[in-house]
Amino acid sequence: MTISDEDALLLSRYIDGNLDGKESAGFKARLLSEPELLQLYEALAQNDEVLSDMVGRIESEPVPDEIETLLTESDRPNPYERWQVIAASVLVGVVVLSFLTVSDQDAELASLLDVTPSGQVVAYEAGSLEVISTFETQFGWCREFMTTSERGVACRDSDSWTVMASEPVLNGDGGGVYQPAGNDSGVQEFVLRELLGPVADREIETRLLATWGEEP
Amino acid sequence: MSSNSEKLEGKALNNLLVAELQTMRKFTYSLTGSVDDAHDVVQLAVERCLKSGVPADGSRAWLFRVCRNLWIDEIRRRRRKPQDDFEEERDSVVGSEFELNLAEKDLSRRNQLQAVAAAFEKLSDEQRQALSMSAIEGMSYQEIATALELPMGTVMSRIARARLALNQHLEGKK
Repeated sequence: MTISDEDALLLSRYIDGNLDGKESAGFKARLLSEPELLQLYEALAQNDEVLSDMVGRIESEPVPDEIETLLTESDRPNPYERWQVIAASVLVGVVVLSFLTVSDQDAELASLLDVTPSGQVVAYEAGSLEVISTFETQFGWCREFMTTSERGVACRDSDSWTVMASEPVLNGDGGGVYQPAGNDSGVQEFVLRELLGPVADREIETRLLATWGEEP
Repeated sequence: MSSNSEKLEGKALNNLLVAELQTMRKFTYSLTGSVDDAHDVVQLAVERCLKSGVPADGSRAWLFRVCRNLWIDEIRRRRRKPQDDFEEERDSVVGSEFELNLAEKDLSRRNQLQAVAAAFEKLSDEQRQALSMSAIEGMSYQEIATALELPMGTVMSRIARARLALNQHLEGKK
């Protein structure tokens, strides 16, 4: 099948979940009405799946001892690390810690945090939202996110999200462009201080989103 | 990424590397086609990150960039070619033939895996990197753009072309 560059790009973005709701619905309608396009989509999607399976086979190979040793040695606790974090906080001052329960106006943000996988850009208000990562803290599961105007961290208790840290995005230009707001970032400080264990991998995150998304 | 950005070190860095280890293994395997070579690159990447730290912003993309650069350096070292010659070959396949340590008993699936591996090898290294990051690792286009230091539009079109090229190579074998 001959396909235009524009359609090739749309098809690839559709496979990657990169189209917004309206674009995605429109392209899906085209797939249902254009058999050749649908056939190509199925072929490309299957190729991705086989590729993923092929490369994933290294996971069944043991991690070399040399790499395990590097990570084990680097995991030994640094008794001065916590004092360094506290000293840094005192020097730069406490920056942006606001405990705001997500209001009805931000109900859209809350619902997006419940269902949006990390790395995916979705439409939000007049711009966009990208969830950066999901991680566990003493406050429960938290998610770092980026909108057109704000970067923040929100944590979820039993049924609601609370924004734990936020700051305006400098030179935000929408489209989910991830730009650090500056060197003295309260959001970064929150993440580094509160992070318990590794960032949630895709499997864990998928389970969390499935649970949160089902709650009324 | 700004050179002045805050860095992950110590426990936070270790947590990141542990969390992303499998991803790094898969990515380097997709580039090298060899389990042993992939582990060599990952080991070098872990050593480098532990020594220098990793920027807190875009840390995941940074890890991919380190792996990719080490892979390119390794290929240059092995080939021992002058810079000009290497630049001419940059768009050609630089990895070795894909090793498939398959314990796959389903013959149909095995053939499918081998066919895709052969087609994947025929892609340019830029297309392999971009497609691997997107289709295999599920990275966002922004993460890929950061890792490869490319505009997002270039990333999107490169991935689209890679998918079509892969499929065309597969159809050509039929």
